[in-house]
Amino acid sequence: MGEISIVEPGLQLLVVDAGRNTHAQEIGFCASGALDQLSFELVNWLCDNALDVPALEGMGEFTLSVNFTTVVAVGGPSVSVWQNDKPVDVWHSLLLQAGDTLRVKPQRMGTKTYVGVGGVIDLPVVQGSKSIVTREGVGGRNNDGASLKKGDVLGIDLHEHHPQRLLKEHEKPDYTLDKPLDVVVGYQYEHFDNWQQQLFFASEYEVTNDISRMGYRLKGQPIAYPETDLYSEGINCGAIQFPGDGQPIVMLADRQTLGGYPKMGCVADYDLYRLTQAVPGDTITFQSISSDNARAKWLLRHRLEERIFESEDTEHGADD
Amino acid sequence: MQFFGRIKDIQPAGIDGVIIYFHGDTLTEKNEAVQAMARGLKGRRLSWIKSLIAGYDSLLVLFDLQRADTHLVYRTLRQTSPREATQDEHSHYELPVLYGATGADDLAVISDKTGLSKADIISLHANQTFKVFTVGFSPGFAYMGELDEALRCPRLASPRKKVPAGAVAIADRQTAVYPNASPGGWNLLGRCPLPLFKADGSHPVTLRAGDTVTFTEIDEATFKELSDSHG
Repeated sequence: MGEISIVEPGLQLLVVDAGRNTHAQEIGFCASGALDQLSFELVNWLCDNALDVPALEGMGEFTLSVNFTTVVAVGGPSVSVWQNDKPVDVWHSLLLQAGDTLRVKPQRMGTKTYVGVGGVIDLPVVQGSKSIVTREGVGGRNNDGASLKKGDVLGIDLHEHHPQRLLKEHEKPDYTLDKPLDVVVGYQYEHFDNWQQQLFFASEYEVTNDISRMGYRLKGQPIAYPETDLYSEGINCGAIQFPGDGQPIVMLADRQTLGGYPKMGCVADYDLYRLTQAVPGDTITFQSISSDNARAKWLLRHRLEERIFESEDTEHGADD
Repeated sequence: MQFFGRIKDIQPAGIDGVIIYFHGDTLTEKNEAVQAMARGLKGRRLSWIKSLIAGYDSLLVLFDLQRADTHLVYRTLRQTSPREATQDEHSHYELPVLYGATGADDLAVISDKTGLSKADIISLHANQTFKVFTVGFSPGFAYMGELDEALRCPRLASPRKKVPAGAVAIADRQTAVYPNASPGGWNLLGRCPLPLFKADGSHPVTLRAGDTVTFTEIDEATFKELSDSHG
């Protein structure tokens, strides 16, 4: 068992994984898990881990140290990484020795940086997940939902292999927001007036400061919904809901399971990572896609990712 | 697409989700149709179904994208017979309540909103059999109903930052017990001293959709005794 110490936690440092057993939502547990599942899976792959094991999700600049020899990997939008003050590569497996420190600094405040560790982080399991869920006060060392603090120590059940892996340029996630996010329309879509539907897809929305792991509140052209009573209903990840002020909120990993605001549809799963890596002030547009086309696109992207995950170390081996 | 049985509408809910809305003359009827379809689907043990999230009048079906698509969900719904609950499938709970308990007392506000006296409010809430329509919003939070029309009561204009664990509350024609301290916008009637659902995995009382609940009025001494004995 190795130990990883939090030297400096930054703005918020959490342990996240692929999320809870999905049936837990039936009794009110939020889905939980990494906000940017793509980057999360990639750092696990770089460490030769199963893709769903816990990793660190941090905001702002943070520093860790280890008391054992292990492989780690860092990923996220525009991140700089130092191993003992020496710059090292992002999206690259890194071999740390006992006593080494790893410092991570994203260029833009608010993006999420993921750090995978070669092995499995030892923490209490709630509904099949080790994710820390601050909102519910669940997960983490004391199972109280507290984010990681300076001086916290996490036990790691290490694995023995130290892979040398890296992502090629075209394999790195494209976080840019130039292209619209795909939206599978549904839920109450047909009840919005036609011109309100068009207005939504023709408008640009800005990410506000009011963003959390539950959802991102956007600001722009308000969208009207005809007065009707809606009963609370199940909320899928990426659902775009409109409270009374008509400003969209996109629901994310730690969303409540039920809610009664009208919804236009859901941002397609494969585009959610771009939204969750957006920061206040960024602008976003949406485009409609049928669920059949969205599924086809998902399957295609999934196959491309699997090609990375199934490739041999030699193909992705480091030069040195 | 043609609908069938008690299904009123089916809509996409993301790439990997479909939401089904049900007919019924009353909310109770709609909710029974939701539960019956959920039971029918559960009974088939389809491993590509990731989750069945019941709302009041809707059922959100989440599926494994690699093995299913919306068309398979439609086909499966057609081939699935809704199943009514058997007697022993649901539990009945009696939950003691100290009405007007300190820290959870909106009786005066409810009285203003409904025109009922405090005694009338309590008599319309205690000793009734309420049904759990759905569980969600937060872990173990059970939406129960329906309250007598006279007790219908709108939510607070602005939600409280913190409602204590065990607070018994009403909103519209629903009632609920907050299993854990949380923010909340419902009107508070009092407190239940029994530990309910705990998010850490221990669940002394786990209410599930279809269960029934009766609230019984207790006095302060009994409240204290029950609180102490459950630590």
